[in-house]
Formats: sequence, structure tokens, C-alpha cells
Amino acid sequence: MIQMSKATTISQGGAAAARLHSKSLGRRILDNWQMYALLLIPVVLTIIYKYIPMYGIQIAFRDFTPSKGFTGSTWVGLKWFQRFFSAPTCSRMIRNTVLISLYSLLWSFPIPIILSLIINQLRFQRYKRVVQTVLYAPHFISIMIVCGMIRIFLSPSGGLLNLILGTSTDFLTEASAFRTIYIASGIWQDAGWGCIIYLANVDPGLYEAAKMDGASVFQRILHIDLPALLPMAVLNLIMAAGGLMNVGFEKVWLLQTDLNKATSDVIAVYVYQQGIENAKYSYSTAVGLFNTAVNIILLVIVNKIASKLSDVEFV
Amino acid sequence: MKKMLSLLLAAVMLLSLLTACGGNKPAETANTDQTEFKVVSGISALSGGYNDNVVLNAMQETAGIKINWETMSDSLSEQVNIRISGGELPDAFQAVGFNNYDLARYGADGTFIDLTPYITPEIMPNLCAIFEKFPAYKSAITQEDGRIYGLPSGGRMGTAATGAAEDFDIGTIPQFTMINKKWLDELGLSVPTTTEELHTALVAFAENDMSAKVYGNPAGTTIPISCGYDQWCWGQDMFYAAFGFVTWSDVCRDLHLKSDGTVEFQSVTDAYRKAVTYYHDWIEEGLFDKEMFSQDHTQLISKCSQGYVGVGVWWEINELMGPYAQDYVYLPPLKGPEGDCAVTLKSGGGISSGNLSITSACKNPANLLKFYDQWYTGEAVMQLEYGPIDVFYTGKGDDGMWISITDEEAQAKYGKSAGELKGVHEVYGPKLILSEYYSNVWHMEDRAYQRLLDLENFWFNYVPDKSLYPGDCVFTSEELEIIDMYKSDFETQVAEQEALWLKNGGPTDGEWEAYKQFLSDSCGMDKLLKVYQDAYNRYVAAQ
Amino acid sequence: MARKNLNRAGGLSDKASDIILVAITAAVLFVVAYPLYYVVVASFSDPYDVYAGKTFLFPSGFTLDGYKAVFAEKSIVSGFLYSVLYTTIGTIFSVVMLYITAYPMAQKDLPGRKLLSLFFIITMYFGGGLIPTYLVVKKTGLIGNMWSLFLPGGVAVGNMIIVRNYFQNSIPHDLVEASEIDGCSKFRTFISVVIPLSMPILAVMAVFSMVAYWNDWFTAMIYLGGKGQPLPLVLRGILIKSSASSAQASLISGGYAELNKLTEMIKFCSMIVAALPMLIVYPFVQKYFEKGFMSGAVKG
Repeated sequence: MIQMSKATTISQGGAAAARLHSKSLGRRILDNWQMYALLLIPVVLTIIYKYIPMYGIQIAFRDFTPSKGFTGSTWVGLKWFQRFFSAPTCSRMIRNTVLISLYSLLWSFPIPIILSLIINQLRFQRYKRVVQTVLYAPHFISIMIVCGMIRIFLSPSGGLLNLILGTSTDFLTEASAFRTIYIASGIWQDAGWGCIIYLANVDPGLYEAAKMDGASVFQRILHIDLPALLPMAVLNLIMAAGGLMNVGFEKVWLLQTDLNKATSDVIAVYVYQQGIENAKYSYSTAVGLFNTAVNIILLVIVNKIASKLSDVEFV
Repeated sequence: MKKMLSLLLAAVMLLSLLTACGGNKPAETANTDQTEFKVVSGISALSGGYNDNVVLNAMQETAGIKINWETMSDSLSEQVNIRISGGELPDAFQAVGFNNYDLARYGADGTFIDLTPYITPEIMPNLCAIFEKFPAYKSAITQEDGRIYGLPSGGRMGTAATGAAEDFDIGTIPQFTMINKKWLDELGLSVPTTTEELHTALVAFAENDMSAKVYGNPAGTTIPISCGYDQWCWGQDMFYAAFGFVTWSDVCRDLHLKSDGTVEFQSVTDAYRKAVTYYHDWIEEGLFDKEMFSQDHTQLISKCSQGYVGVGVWWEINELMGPYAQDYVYLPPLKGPEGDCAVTLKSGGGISSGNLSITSACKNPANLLKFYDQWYTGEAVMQLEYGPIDVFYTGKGDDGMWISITDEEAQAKYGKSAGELKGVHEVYGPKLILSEYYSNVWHMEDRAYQRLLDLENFWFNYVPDKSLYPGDCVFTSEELEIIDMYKSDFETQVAEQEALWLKNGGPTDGEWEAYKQFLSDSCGMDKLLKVYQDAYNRYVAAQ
Repeated sequence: MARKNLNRAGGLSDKASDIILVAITAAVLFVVAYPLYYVVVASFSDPYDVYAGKTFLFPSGFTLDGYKAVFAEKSIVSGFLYSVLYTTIGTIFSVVMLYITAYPMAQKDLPGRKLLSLFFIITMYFGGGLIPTYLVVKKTGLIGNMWSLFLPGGVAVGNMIIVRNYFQNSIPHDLVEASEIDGCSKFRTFISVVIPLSMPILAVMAVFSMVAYWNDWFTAMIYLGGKGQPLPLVLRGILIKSSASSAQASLISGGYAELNKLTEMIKFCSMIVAALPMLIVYPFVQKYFEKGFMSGAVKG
């Protein structure tokens, strides 16, 4: 049965390919008019609210003053980029941002997949529902509260972790602990939520057939679940690669102390801390552009690799 | 095909409709008699708005104008920037908090108008009278081009109000260190006056687990010293007095004015190096709270109010120590290993001019300024700061000064504490609170008064040199560029390094030199120093 | 497929698997659930006890003051209702947008598809920023209008790609083909075949949209100008007022510690109040669409 659906997929691609070559361009456009009609509103909205405002990006090269407006502000070329790269801890910031992203990816990418694989195999429906509900609940806790709890749990004087380990270390001041804290709490908060997208993908009907064939749980996971999840997983991976430089500001800022800056000094917090009222927009736009550039390069690379290895494509 | 074309047409028409809906502005007529003004203002989150504020309404009547208020209490800078970008200028911006940079820029490009032609005895008699008496205030708000882009604003709760000879702001020593007298008595120790003595006391606190012994808390909860790192009123900076200095400044971290008129950064002096190295040992020994570098003030208050802490640091004793407050006394600045003991004062504050600016959209600034001039009397500003007479002030005392409502009265009459009442009624804007108001017009709150007395009678005894870098220095735009470029980096690097040394051990000679080099090369330390020196020299010359 | 022996090496019996699975999930459940429990306990406790580490198991200094302060705010109810309104309309709008974009994009034979794809993806990475967007919103007359919360967001491109890929990979193509052979236009196929079969992803997208709209306060603050405040904005206002309160108190009548305590409590309580509706709604949504999924599969 599994093989059959694969076959139909391939044949579908073949049919489409056949269609592609058999008709003229004009004919195909007309044939697809309904599709274009559907796309009309999204395209118009995107142009109005996403593309038109893009003129604002130019302030990355200007010294933006609200009173002079976007086009009236003085042109300063690469000033903000130079400033960013001559920041005292520039290389450290970039390194930390990349490392946090990479490690996050490494650890928190597989976990929702594994979790959803396990959950899918649970046979007690009520228990399954309880597990799912509890697992995604942390997603709703605000970052401020999460960080407040981290402080309390990791407190050297009576914090849970220190009580259990029998030590009295202030983990928030250990640079080596920062990444772990950041990633672990991130997993706690978002793993369950990340499952949602995977749980939607598997057809229980296939299980029945497999069970009749006598497959064990492990084999079911291997032959049914994994292939079903794979496209989504690859897609997620590509999108994560495209977000490498986007280590967000709020959580790091709340957990950062002077003593863990060796690993917690990241770009987003730095730009915020510069807090330069006047240059805030120009400077952060410029740094944002730099981040985007890196992200896009990564995205293209990962997308190319993924499209060669699987059926999934991003663009 | 037809369907698609008609859809497209409809979309285009819709679009043009929407954009046309921007609306036509009525033709601007030259209005020299403008009596209605639009003001965008910051406001307290507790306030119900300015439309019903009796004080403001009375002032408007006197000036013969009407103000349409637009107030906001959240994310001010975003909203204001959006307004300015969109060209939607009100007649004035009030209490938005523009800094010098903003004022210089907006003044230069004409968004804010120059107010100097209007600061005349005819239009603004009150303000002129103040400038007569305190010309320094006028120079404080004058930009480098000789123009004034914002009305002065500032508050000074100073020692002059208690009758002291010199006037120092209540915040010149924000950190009061305090020690648990009860524990000392139990151990037969007297209040330490040297670092040695404090060390002995702290070790005794820990070894005897005084928190458990005296207060019955669980074992091991004693924390000899608890404070924060680099925090305004609860940081560790006060302890550096034992080495002859204290590192705090609102102008720029560690900026210090010496008695000879030169400025220096304390964080590159040898005394600083010694202090950091010395206290590292204490941190190693566990005499400082392990959480000192990461805790927030709620955690600090929480520990202190449980009675865990031997030595604490805060604005005052009561708030921090809660139910145990009566067991604590001030811990004076200590004599260090080399015999030094000196607190350097914290400079900061000063007169700002970012609380009232008039924009180019205003047709008749004179009328509007007549309204604002009324803010510059003692009785007016007291009501704008706390609340109207008969609401916040319950009557005049025998000395002719207004008496503020007490908590009990406020609870009884309005169901709020006095502080909340203030929050509801206060008006944000260009308020100038002179020290003399506290001696002539209204009584300052008791706690503040007490603190000023303590400053004068106790803490200032440890301040041999009262030089203060003025908070009113005006910077040129090049100087502002330099500050903008380097100050933030400089401060964060120094802070980070200080924490690392405190935690891991003081620097070797090589490290110390490398650190100073790094600050000059990458953080613009020398450039910053020159800026502050030049600005100070100009300030002195202008007196 | 050859018959597999149930006891073959590497495969466990069903019962043994069950036990292992339940054990693993139970452990995970505990680790995840404990901090949640902690937050609830903290919202009923004295914050200073919370920070002193006294509330790991049970509330300490039990108090309802935090909740009282939150619910004392008059606009809580209206905030809630507005949130429901915005979330409902927003979710419908967003999901429709996603679908009408993703389906055409899923047609491999659509001319200009790659270009359109790039067109959308670029907006994921480049944006003009707050001020230009605001100015455009203003120009199109949406300031103060509820639609300013939905239209400027346009299409959530990341989600759209997920839906597009779902259409491409997870809808059984024999059904689509059958429908087209029957003479249905692509649009008709979309409506009667693809959409019903895509219930799982629709549920997911609905949930994502719901949560995003429910939690958003910044857009409402910037575009609505104080009217029609949704719940998170109301709660944020309460928190700000409370901190303003405690700042005042430190200057005048003392009691900073007390009011600061209230502020901390409000932080916990308002978060629970904000999150609770979503937590309650999600299981129902999930149940409803799972049913849809089942019926879709049976049809196949």
C-alpha cells in the first residue's frame, strides 16, 4: 500500500510534466485562470503591505531622523556596517549567535519528531490526549515568566537544581552553562508545540494495515511514521537554516548577566543595548540586513542540498 | 477571461478608493490668533487623562487658550517617531523625554522652534524670574547654537531644604549600606569601621549561622552580604569607598571630577584595581551573596525580608528589611586596608529640556507659552507634581507651607494610598522644582526629609571631596556623535570586566595594561574623556 | 509484504512496547508538567516566598490578591470579548489566505510559479520596518479599524509553504486525478476534494493563527490607538499601572516592597488569565478536526 501511493505520486508528477510540455504558455495561463484569481488578493495585499514599505530598508544606508523622513535623511553609505564590525566584541557576538542557533537546531530539531513518533504509537486515546495537551502547554507561558522561573530554579540559595545536585552554584553566572540553559528551556517550552505539525501528518488507516501485517511498533515507526514525517521535517530544517541569525532578543536579554557574556553576547541584544535613540532604526536595520544576508546564503545552500536529496523544496 | 478582467478592475478601483480616503486637508490659513492647541503628552499609567485636570484647566483659562490633549503611557518613542515621520506634528510635545541628541537634530531641521524670542518678561515672567536667580539653568538648556529648543525641567530634592549650607541632591549617595545590629550585639561585636572589622563580623555571621540562630530560619540560610551588581541603590559600589572612591555616575559610568577640575575614569585607576582584587577574596570566601551578579531586586527584597541577610544595601532601611528593619543600623563607609575612606558623590540628573518642545506646526507659540509659564511657580508645580490643592494638599500649616495628605487620610477619603493618589493626579511635563520650594511652599514627604538629614548628618562625613561633574553640561554635536558612538560600548566592557575580576580574581600586570589598551583602542575611552573634559571646561567658563 | 514474525529480533511484543512508551511519555510528562504546576502555585503565593524558594510544592503565603488585581480591571471582560472577536475573524482570514495562496502554488504546472514563490519568500526576509508599514497602513485608511490587525499581515509565508507542501505530498493524488478526470475544474477539485482531505493541516494552521492573534498586543496598540483593546493589551496595562504605582510609592509613603510584590503577582496571574482560554480551546479544536481527518480517510 505504501509503495502504491509512492507510485501515484510519481505518476502525478509525470502527468504534470506531460502537461507542461504539451501546451503553449498562453494556453496554460488561460487554463489556470482560476488559480491566478485565487492568488489575486494575497498578491495585492503583499504588494501593498509588504513591498511598498520596503523603501524603509534604505535607512540602513542613511542617518535616519524621523523629521527628515526616509528619503530626506542624510546618506551615510556603509557607516552603520562599519560601526557594527568595529564593535569591541563583534566577532564574539556573531560567533555566539551562530553557535546558539546551531546547537538549538541540533538539539531541539529532533525532539519534536521523536516525541510525535512516540505519541503516535500510544494506543490509549485518553492518555494520548492528556499527553498532547500537557506537552504543548508550556508554549503559552510568557518569556518573562519562564526566565523568572529559571532564576528561581537555578538559584544558588535554595533553588531546585542546586538542592538536587547538592551544590550551590549560580548557574546564570557560568558562561559555560548559558547555552545549555537557553536551549534546554527552549526545548521544554516548544518541543510539545513543535509536535503539532508532525502529528497531523500520519494516516491512522495505514497503521491498521501494518498491524495486520504483523509489524512491531518499531517497524511501524520506521516504515510508516518516518516517511510520512520526513517531508515536513526537511521543510522545517530548511526554514530553520534560513533563520540561523535570528536569535531573538528577549530571552537572551532576560538571562544575560555580566558574567556569562562570553556565551550570551548576541547580536540582537547588543543592538538593543546600544539604545541609541537616534540611530536605533538605521543601526538596527543595517544589522538586520547583515543577518538577512547570512540567513539567505544558508537558506539557498540548505535548500539546494535538500532538493537534491528529497522531494521537498522551499522555493 | 472576462471574469478575471472585471476582478482586476474592481481591485484597482478599490485600491484607489482606499488611497483617496486619506482625506483632504482643509487649506491652512495663517492664524495669528490661535487659541486652540493640540499637545501630545506622556502621562502616568494611573492617570485618567488631562481633560479633567482642575489645575491644567484653570491654567488654560487664565491664559485664554484651550488644549486638546493626546496622551500616551506606553511605547512612547515608537508612537512619537511614527508621528514625526508621518508629518503629523502637534503644536507641542510634552513629557515625551527627548534627549539632547533629539533636541539638537529636531532643532536644526526646524521641527522644533527656537524658544528664545519668547522667553521674555512679557510672555514668560515666571521663567524669566527663575533665570534671573539661576542663570545656570538657562545655560543648561541652551544648545550649542545659542538656541533653546525645550523648556527647562528638573527636580531637586536637595539638602538645602533641610537648611544645609550647600545643596546636594538626595540621590548623590543612593546606596546606604546597613548591618544587623542585633546580630552584632549577640556576638559582642561593635559596628565595624574598617574593612578588617567588617570581615570579622561577616565571618562570624556565617559561622554562627545567625539567621537560624537569632531568627529561627532554616539552617544555612545566612547570607553575610547581599546586594546586586552595579545597581542604582542596591549595588556593590559603596564598598569601594574603602579604597577612596565609589564608581557611579549618571553622566558616564565611572566618570569622576577631581577637585582640580580634571576628569578621570575611575575604572582605570590603581585604586580601582586594588578594590576589585581585594573584594574578589571576599567573594571567594562566600561573604557576598552568590547570586549577586544575577539577582533582581525582588529576589533581594525577598531574602532580606526573611531575615537571611547580615549586611544589605538599599535606598533606606525600612523598605528592604521589612519586619526586621528595627534590627538594622547604617553601616558607615569603611576604612580600607590602606587607610582610605572616601565616598565620591554620584553626579547625574540636572536640568533637561526634553519635556516641552514646540513644533513648527504651531501658529502662535506665544499664547501657548503663556500657558506653560504658569508652571514655573512653587504652588503651580507642587500641584502638577502631586495633585491639586484640596485633593492632595489638606491645608496650610502654621509656617504657611502646604501640608500633604497622609496615607490614612488618603485611604479614608479616596481608597488609595497617598502614592497612588499622586499617580492619578500628577502631570508629566516641564516642571522645575527648586530646592527652595521645599522650604517655602510645601513640606516634602517625611521619609525624603529624613533621608536628606541622614545624608547631611551622617553620610556626608565620609565625603572629603564634594566635587560633582555637573549634569547640565551641554555638548556640541560632534561631541554627541562621539558619546553616541562609544559610551555604550565603553560602559558595557568595563562592567563585564569588573564582574569577571570580582568573580575570578584581580588582573595581573599584563592583563591590567591590556585592559587599559583595549578601552582606548576599541572603546574610545580617550575620546570620551576629552569630550567630557571639554564640556566641563565650557561649563565652568560660562558661569 | 511478507508476513513478519511477531517475535522477530528487534521487534518487541505490543504489550512490552506499550509499557515502554507509557513510561517514556510519563517521565516526559512529569518534567514538562511540573513547571506548569509551579506557575499556578506561584500565582497564589506571596512573591517574596516564591523568590525565596518556598513554593516548590505548595503555595506559601496563600493569597488571591494577584487575581483580584487582575479582575478588578473593568476592561477585562471587554478585553476578552475583543480578543475573541479579533481571534475568530483573524483566524478565518488567515486560514483562507493560506489556502488560496498555497493551492495555486502547489500546482506544478502553473506558469510563473517559481517567480511567485520568490515573490512571497522575499517578504519573509526583507521588511521595511515599523514606520513605513505604519505609514502605508495609514494611507490605506486602516488606522483605528479592526482590519489593520489582519490585512497588513498578508500571507504568513512560512505557514503557506507548509500548507503548500502538504497539498503536494500528503493529499492522495489518485483522488485528485479522479476528480479532474470526472471533469471538475481545478477550483472545484480544490473545494470538494482537497480541502476536506486537508483537515489535519487546516486544524494546525487554525491553531497557529488562533494563538498568534490571541497573544498579539503590539499590533493592536500601534494601529488601534487605545480603542477596542484586546485582552493581552488590557493585561499589559494592568501590569504597567502596577509598576507605576510601586514607583510612586517608593518616593512618597513607603510601601515599595508591598506594591512591588503586587506587581510580581500580577505578572504570574495575568499570564495565566491570558493563556487559559487557549489551553482550554485547543483540545476541542484538535478533537473536532481529528474527526474530520477520520472521515476524509474513510472516503479514500
